[in-house]
Order: sequence, then C-alpha cells, then structure tokens
Amino acid sequence: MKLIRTKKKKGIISDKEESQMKKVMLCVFLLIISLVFVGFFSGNAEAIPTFARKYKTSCSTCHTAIPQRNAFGDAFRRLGFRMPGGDKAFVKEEPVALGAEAWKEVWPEAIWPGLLPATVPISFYGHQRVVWKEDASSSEGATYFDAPHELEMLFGGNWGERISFFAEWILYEKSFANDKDKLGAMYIQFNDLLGSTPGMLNFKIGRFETGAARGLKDDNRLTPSHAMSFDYTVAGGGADKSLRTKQSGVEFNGILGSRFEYAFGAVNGGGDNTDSNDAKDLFYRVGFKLGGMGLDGSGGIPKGELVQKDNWRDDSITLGTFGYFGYPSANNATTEENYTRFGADLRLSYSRLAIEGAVVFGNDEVAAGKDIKSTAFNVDLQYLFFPWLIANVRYEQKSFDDNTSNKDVEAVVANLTVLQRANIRWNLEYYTYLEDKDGNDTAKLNIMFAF
Amino acid sequence: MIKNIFFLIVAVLIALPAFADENTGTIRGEVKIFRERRFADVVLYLEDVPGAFKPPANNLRIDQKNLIFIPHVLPVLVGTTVEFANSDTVLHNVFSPSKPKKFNLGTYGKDTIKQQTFDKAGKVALLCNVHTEMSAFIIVLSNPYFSKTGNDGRFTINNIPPGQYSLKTWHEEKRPYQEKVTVKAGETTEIKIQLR
Repeated sequence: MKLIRTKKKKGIISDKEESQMKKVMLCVFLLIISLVFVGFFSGNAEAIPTFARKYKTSCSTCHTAIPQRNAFGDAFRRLGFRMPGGDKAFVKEEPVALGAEAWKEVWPEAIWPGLLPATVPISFYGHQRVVWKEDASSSEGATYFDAPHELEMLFGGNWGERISFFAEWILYEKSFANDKDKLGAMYIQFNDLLGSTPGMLNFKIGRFETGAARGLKDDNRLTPSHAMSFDYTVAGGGADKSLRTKQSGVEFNGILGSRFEYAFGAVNGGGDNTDSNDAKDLFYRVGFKLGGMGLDGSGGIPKGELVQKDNWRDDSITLGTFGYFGYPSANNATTEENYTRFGADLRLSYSRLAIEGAVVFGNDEVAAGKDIKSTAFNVDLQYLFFPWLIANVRYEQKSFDDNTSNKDVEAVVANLTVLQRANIRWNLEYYTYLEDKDGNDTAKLNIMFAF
Repeated sequence: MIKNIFFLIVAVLIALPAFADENTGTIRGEVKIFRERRFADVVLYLEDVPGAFKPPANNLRIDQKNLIFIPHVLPVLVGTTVEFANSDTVLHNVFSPSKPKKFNLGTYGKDTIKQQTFDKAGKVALLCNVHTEMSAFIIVLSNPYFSKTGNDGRFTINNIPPGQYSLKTWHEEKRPYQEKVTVKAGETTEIKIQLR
C-alpha cells in the first residue's frame, strides 16, 4: 500500500488505478488469510516425500521449511543422503538386499552385494502461483494466475552405504519455451572413497549444481526469486554463465574434521546448451563452519528417535570461498569468451535469526580483447517467528564496468513463508527494484507442496 | 544294600551341580546395541581358557525355511558337526567362502540333510548360491565358554573355572568389544555392554 501511495505521489498512477491496485492486493491478502485459516483447521496432510517415507519422519527433521535445509539436513545431503552416525538404524522401510553382506567374501567371483530402496523413491514438488506484475510502460499492473507454475518429479536415495543417487525431472514449468519438460539434475555419488570415515571423500558424476554454488544453497531457498549473485549472467556470448545453472560433469567433495568442507570438479559448461569443446569449466569451493552442528552432523546426532522440535536452531558461522573458470567457446572460435567468477559466501545463524550473503566478482571476455568486469552481491536476513512462520528480507545488486549491454541493478525482496503443513508451504514475496527503470516490481503468492 | 547304593548315587548326582557351582563361576549380563531395537545374535566368548575341550556328542543343526537360515548365528566349539537341513520346497545350496572352513555342500532339495564339521576357530559365513539374499554365520570357538544373546540382549555363560579372562563379542555388523573379567568360584559376575 505504501508503494501505491509513493507511485501515486510521483504521478505514476491515477486514483482509479490506485483503487484497482488496492482491490487486487486486498483480494490477494484475503485469499491468503482465508486459505491459511481453512488449511490450519482442516484435515491432515498425509503426503510425505521419499526420505520422509524411508525414515518415517517429518520433513522438518531435515528442513527449516521445505526446501530450505537445516543443519541436520545439510549433513544428511553431504553424507550422500545418509543419516549422520549410521544410517541403518533409522531406516524404517527395510531395503531389498541384492545379495547378503557375506557375498563380499566371494568377490571377485560374485557381484558385490547392494541394496534397493524398499519403495520406488519418487517424490513430487509442485508450485501454484498468483502473480502481480507492474507494467512500467503503461503504468498499469497485471494480475494473473501462474498455476500451475511448476511440477517436478524427484528421485533420491541409496544403493547401499556407498552409492547415492538424485534426479530432478521438471515435468512442467511455465517459464520454459513451449512449457517443455526438462531434466534438472541427475547424478550418482560414490561415497567414502577413503574408507570408513563417512563423507571424507565422495565422487559425483552427472548433472548437478556445482559445488562452487553450494554455499548459498540456491536450490533450497525460501524465496520464489533466485539470489542475484548466483543468478546473474553477462550479456555477450551465448553461454549461460549463472553460477546456479546445473552442469554436466564430475565433482569431488567431502568433509574434513567435521568443520571443513571442500568441492572441486570439471563440467562441460554452457548449462543446458552443453558446449562440446575439449576445454572443461573448472570450479572449487572451500568452506569452514564455526560452532553449531558439525558439517557431518556430529554434535547433533539424535540419540534414539529423530526429533523435530527446535532443530531449526544452529548457532554458527559458516564461511566459504569459491571460484569458477568458464571456457565456453568452440575450439576454433576467434573469441574465447572465457570468464571467471570468484566469490565468498557467509551464513551466520543465531537463535531465530539467520544472515546469509554472497559476493561474486566476475570477469567476462565478450569480444577479442574486450573484458567486462562485474560485481554481484546479496544479503538475506531471515527471522523465524514460529517454526511455521518465517520472514526474509534480501537486498541484492549487480554492477558492471561497461553498461552498454549490461545494466546495474539494485533490488529488495521481502518474503513471508507460512508452513501450513510440513509439506505445504505458502510464500508471499514482493520484489522491488530500487530504480524504476531497472525492472518491473513483482508480487507473488506461491503455494508449494511436496508428496 | 542295593537300596543304599541307589540312594547314594542319587544323592551324588543331586549334589554334583552344587559342587560344580561352588567350584566354578558365572558371567551374566546384557548387551545393548546403539540405536538398535533388537539386541539378538551377539556372541560373547572367553579367550585363552586353558584346557582341551571335547565337542558335543550330538550334532547341531541349521535349517533353511522360508528362504532363511535358522538360526542366523550359531556359536559352536571347535570340532562340532553341524547339520544343514532344507525344509523348503525349493532347492537350496549351502556353501562358505570363509577361510576357517571353505566348503560347498551342493544344491539339494526338501528334507535333505547334509553335514559339515568345523575344526578351526573363526567366523564362517554361510551363503546360498540359489538365493543370494540368504546368509548365516557359524562362529567356531576354541572353548565351550560362550553364549548368544536373545532379542532382549541377555546372556549367561555358566561353569567357568575361576580366573581372569578376556570377554569378547562378535556381531555381524558392530565393532568387537573386549573387556577383562574376573570369575570367582560360586559367584556371578554381572556385565553390561553397549556395542556401537
């Protein structure tokens, strides 16, 4: 409402338009209130995704609010989807043995024994949206239903202790050209290559978000919009240069002494438009966590049953630094279009407050002898009022030393997350550019569900 | 006279266990397994007990029923002969790749019983070539002072000569545990163990 008044003062909107906008916002507000109310006092949401089924535990064991992971959930992922301190005791759905353990003694005369998940490990994520988007050219906004916005199928689990897998098949996403389907990620991870210490050295192959971007956990953000520092790209050249883009390649990752984590690897580059040249994009990240639960889940291992209460709390500081070296062009191109990204990420969590941020410095060769330098930055404040009510405010910016085809942008994102159930999340996000010329403000009501 | 001799023999027989109890000790205890709900199939045994021990006169038995070896874990004294029965309507094969006793009894049908003598101490894994998910273990031990836990984790080792011994555990998945135990004549030593 304040924004409407500001725009009215500036003469951008008329009394009639102001009245219409107020009506739209009031409708959205009432819709949220009524649906949340109805939801809270209606029947149980029974549906739970793959890991929740496997361990017979709630989403909130591993997530603050889906899909944002808490410290325990992060450790679970780092260990290759295994519970810290030994997975087997927590598994409630007995896996199917592909040969008894003792067959290991027969190897190489027999196949090494493995396990199959007890049920087909499939989950679904869906997003329904109502979007209001400012139209700067006509001083009018438009409200429309972006429902469904997205439906994706997720696969995840283990084939025994040492092999994990994950896949994300986007069945539908509104933003795709012709609404076509898309394989988001698909990888296999071979765990514990150095022996019995869980998570010390793992090897991943497939398509995945590279380890360089892992500090900001873009895949697990609460806001519908992506953080600018990991989402921005530079005009010039055809490659998708955003750090969050999923890439095909290999990665080594692991945890050292519970507090250090590392990842490095090589990918084709180019995101979906895989460039098939010999030169691979390279990346790395090293991180350190002080306080709170260890990166491998140590210090927070449940004694008996998995518990949910207060597991969002993890008083700690996590610092990381990363680099990405892109070599996207074909072998015989005259312009290499090489680019680099260096940056740092930070997460500070105390009690109900979490501050998360990242800064990225880029250098892109866009033509022979011509480079564009860029800086992107974002900081996100998150406050947990209740385990089901979380607020975020994020400031973000990107700037370039050459604004011919890339413009500097500053924006603020305000987001309210309501968990109706552990697997049903509501968001109300308002995305505003600090300069009107930079883009159109957007308000999104997003309903995410997982089962 | 004959009547008196008969009563004397009966009295001696009744008194013998009491004498035995007075001259030997017992270890009794409980095993818990970290984050497990079932504490069965932990073998507890004493090491370095001097003496020569005769294997039992009667054979022990492992059955194959509903595609499961029963029992899953069988501790035996060196020299013991174990019979392998097949109570299923399908063919089974019993073999072991383990060093202490490599053997293969071949594939055989319902109600057939084959046997094998275990003459060297160690862990012998049993597998079925037909059903790869089936497995069992025979733990061959050098003295008769051993026990196996039930679901509640309780165990008792009786008739142990007084002395100091190493009490060890074996479990299919958990790390072995070892503890020094002093056994006194006529007394019961209580032990609590947690395996991880």
